[in-house]
Amino acid sequence: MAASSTDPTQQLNDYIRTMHDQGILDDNFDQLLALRREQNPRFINELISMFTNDAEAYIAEITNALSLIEVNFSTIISKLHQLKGSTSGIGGHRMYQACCELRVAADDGDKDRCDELFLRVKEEFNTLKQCLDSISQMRSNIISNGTRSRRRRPL
Amino acid sequence: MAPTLPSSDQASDQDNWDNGRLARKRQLLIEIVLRNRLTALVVDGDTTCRVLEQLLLRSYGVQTQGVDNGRDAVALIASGVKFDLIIIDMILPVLNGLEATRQIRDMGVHCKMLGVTICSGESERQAFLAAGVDVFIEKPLDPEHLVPILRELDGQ
Repeated sequence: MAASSTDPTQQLNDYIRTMHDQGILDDNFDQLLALRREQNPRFINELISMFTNDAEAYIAEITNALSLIEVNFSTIISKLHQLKGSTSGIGGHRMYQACCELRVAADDGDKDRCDELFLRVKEEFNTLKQCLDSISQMRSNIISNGTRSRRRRPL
Repeated sequence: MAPTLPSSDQASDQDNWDNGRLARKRQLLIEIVLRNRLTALVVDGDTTCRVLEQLLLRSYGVQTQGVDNGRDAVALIASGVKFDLIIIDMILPVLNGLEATRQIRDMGVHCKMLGVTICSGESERQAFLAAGVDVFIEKPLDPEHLVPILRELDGQ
């Protein structure tokens, strides 16, 4: 008997698949799920929270660097490197692509282009954050309710 | 563009693909059993990356330690702590990965060093290898690259 669409685990699976289809998440997020720790079922939620907090800090630092009269491209590149790394690790595909484009503009020392592309980075971060927050919430509900699918391992 | 919710229709082929994709990822996480207790140092300035790399290593039973800058990595090695594997990012706070790698090698450390970084070109790869890493890979660290290295270190 197929799992119904009201099954929380199935809903989570469907949501993640949709995020893949929209390019918001990629295979690196799957790798994260595969690292799921039985001893701490909330570890993925903790990792998502860690990523979100750090990303917000990097974005704030890039914002400051871009706002200076003499733009600090060195700081931008340094913080962007860390933001790209963590975004790639969490599986944020579209945000990662946006960061790569910004990196090119920063390497070129093009402030106007940096401003334009940084807006896109922030938009993609907001999208990714919404996505990850939704996943965290769904997983929390599954863990709290102790819901388990007999046919699929819970995400 | 805000993320949109999935439709209510279910595609069994897609479900099989999902389960297959995850199953392959999980299989790579259990296909190696280490006979020896290996240790690894992870040097990465970003917390999420460092935690992810340590989690991946620990999933194979590797004992790990993490530092967030090149200077602390060099100091830890200089204090006499030994590792079977050092995973080091190229761009690090305080002391960058290239210089930290050179200093670690200058101390006579011969353990396996894996240089990782994001979105690099051939010149960065060559520079990291010239500094002393044995292997260079693009982030994120993944089982496909890590498992053969762990097998080699384990003498398998």
